[in-house]
Amino acid sequence: MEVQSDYKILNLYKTREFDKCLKLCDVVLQTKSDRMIEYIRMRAMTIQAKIAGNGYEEVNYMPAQDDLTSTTVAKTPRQGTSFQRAIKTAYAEDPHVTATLASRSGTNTAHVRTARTALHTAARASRAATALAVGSTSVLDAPITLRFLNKDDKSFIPAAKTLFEYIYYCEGNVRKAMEVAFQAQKSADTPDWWWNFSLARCYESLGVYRNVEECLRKSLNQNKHILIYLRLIAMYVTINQPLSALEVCKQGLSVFHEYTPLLLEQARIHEQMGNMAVAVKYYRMVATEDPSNMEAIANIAMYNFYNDQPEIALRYYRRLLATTPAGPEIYNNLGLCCLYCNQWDLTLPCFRQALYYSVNPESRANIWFNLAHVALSTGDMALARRCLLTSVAISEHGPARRALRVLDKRLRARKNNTK
Amino acid sequence: MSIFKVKQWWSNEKSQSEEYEDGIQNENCIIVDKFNSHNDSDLIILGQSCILKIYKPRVDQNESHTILESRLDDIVLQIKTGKFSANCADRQILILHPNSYAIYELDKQGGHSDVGDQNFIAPVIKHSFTRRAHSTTCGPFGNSKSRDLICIQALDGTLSLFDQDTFLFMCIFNDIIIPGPISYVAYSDLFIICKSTWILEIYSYQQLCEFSELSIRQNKNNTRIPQWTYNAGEEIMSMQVIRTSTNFASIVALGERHLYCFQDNGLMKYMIRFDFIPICFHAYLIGWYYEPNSRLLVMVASEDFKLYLYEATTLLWSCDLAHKAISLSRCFLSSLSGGLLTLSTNGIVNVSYLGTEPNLNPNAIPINEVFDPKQVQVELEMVEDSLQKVLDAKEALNEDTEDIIKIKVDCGKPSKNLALQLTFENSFTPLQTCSVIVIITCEDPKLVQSLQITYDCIPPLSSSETTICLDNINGTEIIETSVFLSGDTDISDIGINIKFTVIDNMGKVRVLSERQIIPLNLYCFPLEAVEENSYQMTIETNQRKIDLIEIFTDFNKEELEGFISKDMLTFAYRTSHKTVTIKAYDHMYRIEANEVSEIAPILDHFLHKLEDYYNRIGLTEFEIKVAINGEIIRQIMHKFLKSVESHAKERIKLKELEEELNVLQRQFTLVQKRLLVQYGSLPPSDCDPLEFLMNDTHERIKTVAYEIIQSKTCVVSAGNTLRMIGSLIIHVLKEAVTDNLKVKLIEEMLSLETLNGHFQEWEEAVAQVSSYILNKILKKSEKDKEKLAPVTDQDILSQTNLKKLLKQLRIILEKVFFNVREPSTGDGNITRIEEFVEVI
Repeated sequence: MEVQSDYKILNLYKTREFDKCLKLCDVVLQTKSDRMIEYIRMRAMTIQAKIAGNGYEEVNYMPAQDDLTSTTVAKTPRQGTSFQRAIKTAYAEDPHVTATLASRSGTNTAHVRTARTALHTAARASRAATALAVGSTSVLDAPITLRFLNKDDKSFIPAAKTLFEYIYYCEGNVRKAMEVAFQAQKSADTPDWWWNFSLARCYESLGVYRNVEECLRKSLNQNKHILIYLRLIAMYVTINQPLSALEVCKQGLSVFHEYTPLLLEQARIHEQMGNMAVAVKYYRMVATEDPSNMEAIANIAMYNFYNDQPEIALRYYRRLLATTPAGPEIYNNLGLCCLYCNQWDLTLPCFRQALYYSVNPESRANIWFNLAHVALSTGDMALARRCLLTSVAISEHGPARRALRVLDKRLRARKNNTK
Repeated sequence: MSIFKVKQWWSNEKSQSEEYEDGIQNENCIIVDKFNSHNDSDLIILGQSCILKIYKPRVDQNESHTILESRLDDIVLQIKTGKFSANCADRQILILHPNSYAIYELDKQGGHSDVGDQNFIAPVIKHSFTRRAHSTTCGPFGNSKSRDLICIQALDGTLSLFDQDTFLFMCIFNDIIIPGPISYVAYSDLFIICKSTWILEIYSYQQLCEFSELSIRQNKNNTRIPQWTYNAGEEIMSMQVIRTSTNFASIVALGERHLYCFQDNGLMKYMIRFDFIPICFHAYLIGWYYEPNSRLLVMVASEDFKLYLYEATTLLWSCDLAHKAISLSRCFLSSLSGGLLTLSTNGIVNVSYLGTEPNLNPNAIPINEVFDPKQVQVELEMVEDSLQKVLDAKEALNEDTEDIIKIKVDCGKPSKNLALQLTFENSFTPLQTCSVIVIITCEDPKLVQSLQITYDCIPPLSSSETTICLDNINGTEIIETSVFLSGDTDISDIGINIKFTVIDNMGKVRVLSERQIIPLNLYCFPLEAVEENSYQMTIETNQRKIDLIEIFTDFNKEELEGFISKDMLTFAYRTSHKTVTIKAYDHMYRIEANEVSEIAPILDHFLHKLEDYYNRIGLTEFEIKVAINGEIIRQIMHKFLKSVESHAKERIKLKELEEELNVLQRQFTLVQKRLLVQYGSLPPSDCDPLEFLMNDTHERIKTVAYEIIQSKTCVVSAGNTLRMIGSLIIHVLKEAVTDNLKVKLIEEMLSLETLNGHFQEWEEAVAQVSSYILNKILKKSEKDKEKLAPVTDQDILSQTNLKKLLKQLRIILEKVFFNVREPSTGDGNITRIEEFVEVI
């Protein structure tokens, strides 16, 4: 007894095997037209596009670069209300400590995030571009269902959300998606927070932030969904209003007590504003709620390190090492912690591992710079000089060159004295 | 993100066939329950396509774990257990097929002692229906005391209710496109239905009865108000109902990225947001629901083979599953209480438990190679030694590149045919093409790392390649490129410069330069002699005149013989057809043309050829002197200043156009911005006027851009004329002025090389130099300085400044030309040296 293909498609769809599902859908749809299979196909494509286009990530920290958005941002923010103010933290005053640790402590999460956000903005830009395209939208590119589906059709309402997401993510046609949203809102008898939320997504990709806020607030009145809070926070961060974003966090936390995503956002915002101590408080809360959260642990470790508690930082980093895939940053940080904890026997092996894992020249140069630091603390000037030379040779980066110059000067001075 | 892994305890992997088809396994066709016949442990009932398997996992690996395997008539969609008929003692098994359902009882028959017990399933009820089924839920609907009723959801979302084998009623929903999960809450007699609008709707059994197609009260559709709804905003993947308290049951629903937990009265308990893709979940209670401190735990399996265990929103445990699980549940086996049961896509059932014993650094491979510090030290010293050697030998390494590489440049005959072989941009065909051949010989190819050849042509001359990079060189490299005229202006430079950038094996960069004169017939052709010309220039030599045919070797004798008469030869430019005549007299030659600018290239070429000729015949004692009288100098100067003026004027025009383009561009952006706002307004307002404006602006931008291109060619051609006359002036200067420093100064001042196709900001550069020369070297009085100083708040191209520039140039040139006649004194020489220092 053969399992019928529509059951197979349903099973593949429910078990999230979209590639196989889509293949089967294509085969089936060639011979017959089935509304359910067509919609499953649309959903599967949408979810794939959503994952690729980072559609599930509500928060992205890319500032609004688009010059078309200049309408929304006040150019001269008050002190302390914006991210633009350069805030000097402890490590800026302490130049001899390496820069690597600070910038890399987010390790993989940070990397993944930036890579993703880049992708996301690309997707957003392309969506906006299609929205800008002048002229009537061609009917041909619409999915078959949309072409034959009238807004007065009684299946329009149940299908509308699927269609919207398909148009928004797969076709990238914001204008058409918005049309669907407006029609759906008009023909539905009960207000639906999701439509306001989706409109906000559209407006965000168009860069019209005032409307985004309006729509999100409206949908927040209808339903207190976590997605709305996150979008709202992301929107305020994008238009550089961290205080409003924090306010939203607070509101959200009053609904969802000790909720990790919100706490994490709050921590990130505080960190960006330079209140590391406050940020760490929230990171700690995140870590107790979700002990597998890398970002929180890495940040706590970094805070401890710069707070002159390397032995505690060491413990956090070792935990990270146990739970995350190994990388050069983590070994580098471990090595530094060992150095400051006076665990001499472990320092160099850690750095060796770091060098073993490092792939890009910048991180390699940074590791060599840190090694110079290790050499200095043992008093081996020649070794320190060699390490710095290697660092400069691999990648020209400011601190290494400066350190080399200072070291040379000192060596010369010493020579003169001995003479 | 975890250091833990689940520990496998039992698996049916061995009994499973290797091959499996995609998509035959769904998450509903596995169930764990306890039966009277096997009361010591839970049984696992698994449906695979149309085979039903019942497992009873044991510790002993040798014993059989499968207690039953049976082939059914149709494929299994879902398996449920419950009490479906009133008078049964044991749990019954409900199996849903696409067009029917069947209820079985599991029985055990004591067999022979060595075979053991025999298990079998006895069919109790079988019922078929027409709508193809998707899933089922069962329970004591409508508070039926004695038995469970059955509710079947069809693929189109219709709910059909059955009691044993009797059809009760059917509810049709038209807002279900993809059937979602349905559940029944026994405690409050509620049905939860997931619609395609991504809304959870909760109806009571009573309501469903009323919605039924057979119901007497036909108040359909418009009055279907659910008990409560929740708008999740995403598709609900699966759902589970669990009794958590004496007063309420909990509903746990899994969406695409969120997990929701409600009480059955609609109160949301919590919501978890995942940053992974969840596949399935299982909620279970630790303790009994009537105990006040019972805990509701939820385990979630993710797409990347991880298992997460939550209590409310707090993560309690996370670990690696070895495979992708599509169904999770707990089972209580005789020797493992509270095992974790997973089903993978290929039908493999695993029973495992959450083990500890963390696997630290599973993916970190430490470097364990042992190294000898002494050996490293030796190696290091060796490296340092060789480094030091390199540093010491710095001077010795400076060998001449000439030794490494020899370069020979040659020009081929111009031809028309060649043009056909090459394809040009904008599909324009050049008049004539001439190949340039570069031959590089390298004795030791290893000495050269890479070589780059750059061709520098002044428009209208262009080269088919601008740069050629050679990454490695064999003994001899022959590189052929072609040069041709592009554009309709006259030639201003008769040669091309070829630069060779050599990187040798030490990484040193050296630049060599070659200049190659372009054959005359590329840009000229002979013509009937034109005798009357308004401008003339005389060249005197100390040798007797030679035949003009001998000089212009680029043409064949046959080509020229038809046109030569009385030692007179006329050439016309291929581009503008303007003529230049060369006359040969006893000890001198005369070049005549109707316009001053035309003389320069031919003069250049002629002098070059003359020298070339005498070199060829090996005569060293000859001199060339260009005789100049004041009149022609004046005329040339006049022309020069005129050409500067016209160049500046063209540039002003271009600048105006560029400004216009700038304004239009800003306007375009503004309209675009407005249009965006219009798109964004709610509801979308009329965009047509703005769109019209945008299109119009776009059209205007296109026109202006076209005009700019036109104007640019004008500027280039004006620049060409300027260059031609400028080079003539320098020629004349070289002849007329004996003071080399001054000639050099003027040549540098005019910096004609900077005028090429892309760079036309010549005036700005020259203005700086000229005012410096005027003030510092020619020593003007304060008054004159003030008079000639450019107005700083205006552009060089502005009217006043341009006038001043022209005046400055005139003064300088006049000074240079007409002071030469006066013999320079010794004092003058000394001061000039000082000035030279100053200039440097």
